[in-house]
Amino acid sequence: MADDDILLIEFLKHGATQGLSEQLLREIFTHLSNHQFLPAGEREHVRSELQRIIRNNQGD
Amino acid sequence: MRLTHLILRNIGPFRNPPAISLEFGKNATGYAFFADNGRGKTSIYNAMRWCLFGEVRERATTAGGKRIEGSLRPIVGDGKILMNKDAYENDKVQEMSVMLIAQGKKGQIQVQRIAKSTTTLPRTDDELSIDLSVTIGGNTFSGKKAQEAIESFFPKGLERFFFIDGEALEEYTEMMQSSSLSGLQDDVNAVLRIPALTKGEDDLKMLRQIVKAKIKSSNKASQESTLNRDKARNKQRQLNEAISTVTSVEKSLITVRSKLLETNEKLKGHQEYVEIYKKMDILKAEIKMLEIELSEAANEKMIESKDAWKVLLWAKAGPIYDSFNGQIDDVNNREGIIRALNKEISRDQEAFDAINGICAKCEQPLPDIEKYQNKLSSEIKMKQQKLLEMNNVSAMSSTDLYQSLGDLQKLQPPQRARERILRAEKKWKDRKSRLQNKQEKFANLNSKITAEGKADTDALRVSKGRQEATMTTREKELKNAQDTANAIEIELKNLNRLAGKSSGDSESHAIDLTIGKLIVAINNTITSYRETARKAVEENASSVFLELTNAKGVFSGIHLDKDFKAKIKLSKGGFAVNPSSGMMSMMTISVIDALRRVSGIDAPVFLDTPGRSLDYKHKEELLNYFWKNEGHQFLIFAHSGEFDAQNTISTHSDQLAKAWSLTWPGDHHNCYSCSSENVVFDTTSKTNTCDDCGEKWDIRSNNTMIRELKI
Repeated sequence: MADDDILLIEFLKHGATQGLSEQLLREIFTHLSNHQFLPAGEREHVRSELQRIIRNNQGD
Repeated sequence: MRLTHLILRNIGPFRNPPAISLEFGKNATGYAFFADNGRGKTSIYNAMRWCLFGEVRERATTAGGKRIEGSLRPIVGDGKILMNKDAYENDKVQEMSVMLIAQGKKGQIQVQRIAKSTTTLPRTDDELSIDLSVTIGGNTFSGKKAQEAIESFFPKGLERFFFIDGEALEEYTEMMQSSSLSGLQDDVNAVLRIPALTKGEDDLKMLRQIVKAKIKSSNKASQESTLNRDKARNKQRQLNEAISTVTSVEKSLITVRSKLLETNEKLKGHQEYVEIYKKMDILKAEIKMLEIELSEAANEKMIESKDAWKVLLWAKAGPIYDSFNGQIDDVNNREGIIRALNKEISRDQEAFDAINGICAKCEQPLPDIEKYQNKLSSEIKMKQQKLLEMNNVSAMSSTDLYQSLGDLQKLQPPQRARERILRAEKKWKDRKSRLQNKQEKFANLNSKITAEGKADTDALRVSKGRQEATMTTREKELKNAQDTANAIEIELKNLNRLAGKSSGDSESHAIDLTIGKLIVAINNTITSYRETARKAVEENASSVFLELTNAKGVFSGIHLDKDFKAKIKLSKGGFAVNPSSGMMSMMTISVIDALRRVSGIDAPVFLDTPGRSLDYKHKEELLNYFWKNEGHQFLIFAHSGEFDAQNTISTHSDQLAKAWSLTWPGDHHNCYSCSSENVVFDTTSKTNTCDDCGEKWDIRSNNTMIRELKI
């Protein structure tokens, strides 16, 4: 994801305000961007991966 | 991403043309397909959409600002099908395929979609098998995974911003100016990648529900665990008490056993007495048993003796009874004889009286009548004498005899009463005798014990008996106490297991917290990003528009309101009123391209019939803008009426990478291979033959030929 991506910049800014790490925010953003067009009924693995990302970034 | 090859097979008017190569040495980004109507411009455009997204729809329409999705184009069947008609009608197995090869950031991308009939002549798309395979940087995917892979570099949701239909620009324009943007809103959101966050927010909310359920379950388990720990503590106390009881009883038992051993030791000093006591104990038990037996025998004897008086009396009455019984027979016989004698005497007397000396039959006088009379008289007298004797016998009457027999019978004992009485008597005597014998033995043994020895031994024996009884009681108590302790221990183990099952779920709490923060971050991002993105799109759109417009001094750019409703801004202030259709098209293209730029998606842009509503100058500006070297490939599919091929090529030769013409064989009066004018037409076979190179072509065929144009 390009660093001049406005959506990413905004997300990093608001995520940092919440005290979330940049690495977590970048991983989440990339994952959600890659699956943004996947319909709601087919997102089970997207949620599993989200959980894995969040779990892996605990304590950072 | 840069498209390098396009291979079409049996789609639209393309039967089996050679691969279209988009590779080119110089750094130009413009590509153009020029053709008249029906030659397949839109078919190439649609072939790529079908290859990437698996469907081609008719152009969408608008009604009251709302976008109405176009109907799905069938691959086979009736009407406007995607499959090449020759292939559909003439091939043994109908098959259509499109392959796209591109170069992306992750290496080469290859997408191939094949539709193949599963029946002899498929009537509907249901009779086709569709196979999709995608290779990205050496990794190959198929089916659903392949479609997902395509989404990662060419999202279907953004299709309209990369496959731009020039004929639909008015529709875009209408929507952009409409106060109701329901049709475009989704597209704008999609191009701004807002679904990435809104869908992500939904995902996180669902994930949070799961995590919260886990936390709730964990809390519940924790509460149960606390409850079980309390129960376990109580149970532990009960177990301690039970163990204490066991220990206490065991101690007591040990003491009793010790005392018993001591008593037994002491008793060994009185061994002689012990032996005697042993025998006496045996005798005492036997005597007790015999006493019971004697009592039973006495009882039996008493029962049997109730008929003893009858037995005694019957010894006398029995013979009398028998005598009376005999007399009854005699009396009965004598009375019978008397009755018979009386009858005979009466009959003889009548016979004697009837004698008159004349025969009753012959009425003649009978001889010796007197002799006969004397004889009869003598018989009568003899019978009368006998009768007299019989009547003179002194005896009881039969009635008296029967009365006496009845009285005597009451004295008769039951059958075998005597035997039973004697047997009971014998049994009683036997038991009595045995009892006396045992008692004598007992007395004999007792007499051997001295008073002093007896006192000591008795005391020891009493102690022993008491100690043995205590020991038995203690043993029972110990068993009960041990059973209770064991049961409590099992319950305690179970409670400890349940108590230790959960100790809370700190990780889930942390994840829940992070999800909550991410949701807040997403919401805040969407709110601020829409405005930031709007400004970015507005800025980009203005920049594009000012490049495209041929009246740069008049306009200052494009204005987008919060709903992305577009207006053309005038340099002098305010907005353009009633702009021309060309101007509106420029505005629409500017906004679409601005959205595409802001989306950040790196993909070629395909513009079908781009100059439909533009004048010459705007068309030129359009090509100048899109074909400038920015890295994005820009492919136009132009009608010869929109853009003249030769003029366009010569005007934009620096910007154009490649260009092609799409023609039917019949369009070529010169040889399409060597451009020779020496072409002979055969009216019978309807074929053209080049005299110079020998190329032959059927002018009736509607299968399009793709010819690369020289730039």
